[in-house]
Amino acid sequence: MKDWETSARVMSSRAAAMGLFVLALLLPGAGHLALGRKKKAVLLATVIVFTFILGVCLDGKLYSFEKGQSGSETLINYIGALAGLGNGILYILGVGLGFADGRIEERTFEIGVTFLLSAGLFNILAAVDAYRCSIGYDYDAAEAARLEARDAKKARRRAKRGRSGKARAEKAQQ
Amino acid sequence: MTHFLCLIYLSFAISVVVSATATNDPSKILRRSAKYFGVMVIGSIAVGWLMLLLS
Repeated sequence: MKDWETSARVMSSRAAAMGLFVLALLLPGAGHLALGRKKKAVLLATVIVFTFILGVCLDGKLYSFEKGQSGSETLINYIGALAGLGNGILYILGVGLGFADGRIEERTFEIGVTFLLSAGLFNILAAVDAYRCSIGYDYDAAEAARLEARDAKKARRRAKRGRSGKARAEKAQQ
Repeated sequence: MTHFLCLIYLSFAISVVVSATATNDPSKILRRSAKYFGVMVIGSIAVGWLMLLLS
């Protein structure tokens, strides 16, 4: 398997891997950095932090766990807060510095919210990847298995189509 | 224009993060992110154009 990080390592236990997952959630890129995957850490942290900063600059809102006027509004608030919490320390900083409310009267408010939510979801994805890297997940083997399963499914479908075509031809002959 | 540029950046960010978290091979990351980015940009232009036509 070709890997761009020669210094990469895996964790010895599941508990350590879970700790790394939490660290990666709190601080974008920290999980990969702790595993010695510096390039991946820098790439992911840059994208996540830049997306978050852009979201704040575009006057987006950071959702919090608050009750809305209706059930659906409360649900949206909760889902938004969960996605926003994915930003980890950036979320806490944003709320602490008073960027939580955004400015709804601005034209860029909605795209700002999209950026803030996306940054949180990116960080959750990065944390899951850090966990997978820490337990020595083999990306190439997983992809090979997926491609094999897809080919087998195609072959089964082709065989089924062939059988039904044959049956139709026999019926027509009779 | 701001919205358009933001969406282009968001497409780029999504393609980079998704491809970077799916493999450790740098050439695959580059190839996949370029592919995803192209698909997203062309797809969003096509959808936008369709919506303009339908409106």
